[in-house]
Parts: sequence; structure tokens; C-alpha cells
Amino acid sequence: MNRMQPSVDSTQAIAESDAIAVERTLTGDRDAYRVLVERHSHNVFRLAYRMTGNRHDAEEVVQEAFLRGYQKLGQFAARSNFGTWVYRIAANYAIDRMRQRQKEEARRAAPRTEDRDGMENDPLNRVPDGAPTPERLTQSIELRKRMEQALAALSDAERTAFVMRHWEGCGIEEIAEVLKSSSNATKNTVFRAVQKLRRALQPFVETRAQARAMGTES
Amino acid sequence: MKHMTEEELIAYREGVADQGALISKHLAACEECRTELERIEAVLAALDTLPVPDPGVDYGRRMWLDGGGTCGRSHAGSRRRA
Repeated sequence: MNRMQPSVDSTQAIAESDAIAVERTLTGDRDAYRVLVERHSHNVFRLAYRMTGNRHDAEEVVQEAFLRGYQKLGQFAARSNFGTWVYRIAANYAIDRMRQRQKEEARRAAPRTEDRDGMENDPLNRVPDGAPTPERLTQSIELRKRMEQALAALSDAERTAFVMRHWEGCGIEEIAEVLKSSSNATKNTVFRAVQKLRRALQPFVETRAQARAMGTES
Repeated sequence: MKHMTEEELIAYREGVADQGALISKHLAACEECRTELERIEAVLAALDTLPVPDPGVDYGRRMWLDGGGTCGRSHAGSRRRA
């Protein structure tokens, strides 16, 4: 790397404020943007992983979000929070990535036909499942698989709304902006997501609770 | 007593209820709705156990380097592909 080593003072100044880092990036200081990437990439990764459900796509989302962030940095309003802004870019790209992935999986799954005791009607079975048979799995592994499948069965908007609200604690207005929807519609999307997750998982969760109460759970 | 709907309880649990104070008051007096809320919370608590992998302490640095300094790329075509 042939860039000049930043002074300690300079690094500290950048670390103190995203706004300063943005300003410096806009004046051509690439290293200032590196600080922003390093500071926010964990948060963006967590969001991306929860939205896409896999590490490979999550890492692509992170990389793309920071690339787009850099390209659009001139449009970034100084009064905004850079973390929130890049987070929103990541959420939007994650939605695109999920849609792209669904199309790819639909193409791959198209020639296959499900014929297992009406299991094709179960939304939990809409996602590809290469795992061992449930009988061979422990309860906790089974529950985890069920949860991943239930999340995968949500629509893109539902998953986005659930992840951003329940796990990331984002405000409804922020989620609405990502979904390009109204606040009321976004609240309804959060409700539908939780309702679907509940329908899919509650019997299993209750079985575990009952097993615990009966002392039969391992 | 008129019970809370599932939608109201989920909105309350997720902190987006319009009538949060009213629902709180109702819950304090209604065991049936409290039980229903607990059932919703049990599912959400189970979901909270889903792990997110730790990308590592040097993740930000790796992202930066993987992207060739991210901003060093002038177009998206050069990014990694599946």
C-alpha cells in the first residue's frame, strides 16, 4: 500500500466522528472511508446475515452497501447519521439479493416435484432442505431448522420488517422508507411476519415448553 | 371483558402499538391476554436464540481489502460473484 500513513491525531479525529470522516472522504481522503467501513461493517453484516440467512450473501451485501455508499456519498446529507444511512442502503440491497436468490432457487427447484404426504402445502417446506431426516436430529437442531425455514417462508418485505424491527430495533419510519411503504402498512407487515412465524413455530415451541414442564426434555 | 386481538398484542410486544398504555392496563387485569402474550413471546424468544456468526475482529479491514479499498472500484462489475 502506497498511501501515506495517517498520523495518530488524524486517526483519532476520524474515529471521533462519522461526519468528519464523510467530509474528509468527500475531499478525496480514501482512508477516511476505510474508517467508516471498519466502524460500521459489523452492524451491517449482522443486518445482512439476518435478512439473507447466509454468510456469503451477507458479505456481498456488506461490500455492495459500502461501495454504493461511497458512490452516493455526495448525496449524503450532513445532518444524517452515516451508520443509519449505510444500513438503509444495505437493507435495500439485501432485499434485491433475496429476490435474486429466490429466482435462482426457483429455477433450480422447478424440475423437482414434492410428493410426501401433503408436505408440499406446508410453507416450511418451500425452502430447499438438504438436511438429514428430522428423526435423526436433536430437538434443538430441529427447532433451529424450523425457525430458519419459517423465516425463509416470509415475504421479502415481512422478513425485512421483522429483522429491522424485532432484531435491529429500527423505527417504523426507517423501515417504511426501506420498504417504500407507509407507516401503517409497515406496522401491518411487522404484524403479518410475527403472525406467520407464530403459526409455523408455536406448536413446536409449546411442545418444548411442555416437555420441560414434564421433565422429559433432554 | 373485550380481549386484545392478536394484532394488538403483537404490535404491543414489538413496540409499535398505537394504544400501548391502554393495552398495558388491560394486560394488568386480564390473565387470558397475558397468557396469549406469553405464547407470542415464547416464539419470539426462541427466534432470538438463532445465532449470527461472528465475522471476526478484523472483518471491517478484510471487507475494505477484499473490495480493493471498496471505493477504489469505479463500478460494481468488479465485485466478487457467487
